[in-house]
Amino acid sequence: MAIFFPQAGGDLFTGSTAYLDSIKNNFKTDQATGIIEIQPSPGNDLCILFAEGVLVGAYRRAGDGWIPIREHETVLGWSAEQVPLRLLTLSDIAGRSVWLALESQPGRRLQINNAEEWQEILAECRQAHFTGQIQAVSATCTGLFVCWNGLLVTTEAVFCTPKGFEFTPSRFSCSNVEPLQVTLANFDMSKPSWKSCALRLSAANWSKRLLECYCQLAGQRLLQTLSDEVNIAIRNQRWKIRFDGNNLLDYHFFPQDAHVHQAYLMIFNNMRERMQTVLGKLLEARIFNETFEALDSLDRNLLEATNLTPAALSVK
Amino acid sequence: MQTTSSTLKLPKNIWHITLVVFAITLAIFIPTYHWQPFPEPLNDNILSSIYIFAALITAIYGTLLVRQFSPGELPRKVWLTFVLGWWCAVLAEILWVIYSSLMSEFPPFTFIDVAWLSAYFWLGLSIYYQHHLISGKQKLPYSYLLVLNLILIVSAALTTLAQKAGLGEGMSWLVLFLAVLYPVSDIFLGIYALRISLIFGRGMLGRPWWGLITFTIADSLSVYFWMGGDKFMAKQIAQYFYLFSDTSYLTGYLLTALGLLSILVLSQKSSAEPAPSLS
Repeated sequence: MAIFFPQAGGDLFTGSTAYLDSIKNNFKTDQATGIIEIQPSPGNDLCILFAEGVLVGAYRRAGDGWIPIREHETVLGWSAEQVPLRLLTLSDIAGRSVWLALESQPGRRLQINNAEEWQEILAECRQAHFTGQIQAVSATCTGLFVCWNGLLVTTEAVFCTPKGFEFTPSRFSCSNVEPLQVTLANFDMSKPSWKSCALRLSAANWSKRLLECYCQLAGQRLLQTLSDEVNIAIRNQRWKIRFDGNNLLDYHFFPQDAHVHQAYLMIFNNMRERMQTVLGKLLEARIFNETFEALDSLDRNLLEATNLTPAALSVK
Repeated sequence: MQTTSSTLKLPKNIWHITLVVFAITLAIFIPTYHWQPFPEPLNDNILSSIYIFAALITAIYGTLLVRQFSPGELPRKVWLTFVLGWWCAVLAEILWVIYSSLMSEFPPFTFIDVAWLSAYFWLGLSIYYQHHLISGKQKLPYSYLLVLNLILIVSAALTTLAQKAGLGEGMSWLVLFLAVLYPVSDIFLGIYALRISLIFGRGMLGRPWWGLITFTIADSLSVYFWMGGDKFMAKQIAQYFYLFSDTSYLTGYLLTALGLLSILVLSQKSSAEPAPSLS
């Protein structure tokens, strides 16, 4: 039994509910990120996902997709005292991708036989401004990629081979020559995983515009100062997020969308405060408003829906 | 992103050192100016040296700030022209001392005027660049030249009016025009600098403009006195006005230097803290 990233191996056991509890406790005490896969009866699959020791959610397979269940339901209806269990520790990016896969409703499915066909699919997604997850599975490889408004997002890509995990989508397209089962799973804003993802990506687009504008007014050196200072504030929170030039790179797996919102509110408020020190209140407010209005409608609507707007930010 | 700007190492306590030095400068300047405790020309030389020192420190801090920007960066144009203006002011202050030591009465048009008018030109251009940068509007071609022409026309009109009003007795139209050109330029500079500093509010990038505003107010007052405006007030009050005007003039330099230094100190922080790793 291996549902996600079978190529990664993981620890396979046959265990009781007590053993499952001990594994869950280990996740919590080790503050580990990963997944526990359970097969309580043949044809019945369950998953429990953790982000840095915090339970993200439990899910039961239902048809093509997954439905969320309560944690205690994972020990109900076991066909035997001991059932197959698989434990797989994951990086934050891989954990986020699994969360998206668990909360996506699979849509179009197709088979791809070579690298050219893979490129065609990507071109199709680009043309259709597809937003969702691309799940690509073969005998030796599993890839989970977020496609945002038609473009693959580098910080939201993971693929796994027997050699381990990779996080560069371009390497996936080059290396893949074997037949792949590809599923295009649509973006669903009602799901916490997608809310978190939307917030990450839209906020990254907004911050990029903001910092470009700030750089134009204040120069590269002061931009670097701002990035460094915000990075220190982020590091104090122990988040795996950082500014690299104009780019906001988020590699952190927050277990709830509300946590993502809180984090970004803090980051943007921090940016705002520091911009205000250099540019003054009037100019800072202007560039926040102007860059927000200049965003793509998808990003703007998502930020509005998640309440990360210039009006939602406040400076003491 | 690549940065070709230089990495500057300022002393950690540069801000405090500068504040103390500036406080001492003012503490020496005010009594030396008002009570003139030293015999001439020593007293004047002390005052002139203080002006040169203040102008020089402003130009040096400005130059250090310009070095923080890479050649292609938009703000570099603002600060480069700004600092060129202050270097012209340094030259004007030095020329003043040279002329003073060589002659008791200056000719109507000297190299001091050339230096000052150049300073106005560069400072005006700097304001122009800054204004366009923060307004984000498309620049009109030659619009700076249009503003310069407007200043000349306004100055010419005011010169004629001033002559009719009896100001600048015994001066030729050209000398009076030059005398009027300074305050008119000051007013233009002051208004635009004020506008910029209002947009920046308490923002650090607005601070160097505060000095320019103080400077232009002081300069306008001194030109007014030079044209005979002090005749309309009691001698003692006029002396206090002179003190106020010349202290403001010096403070203009010092405020500009402090404004530039605050940006410099902030930009220094970027190289001090390494970017956090994600591992």
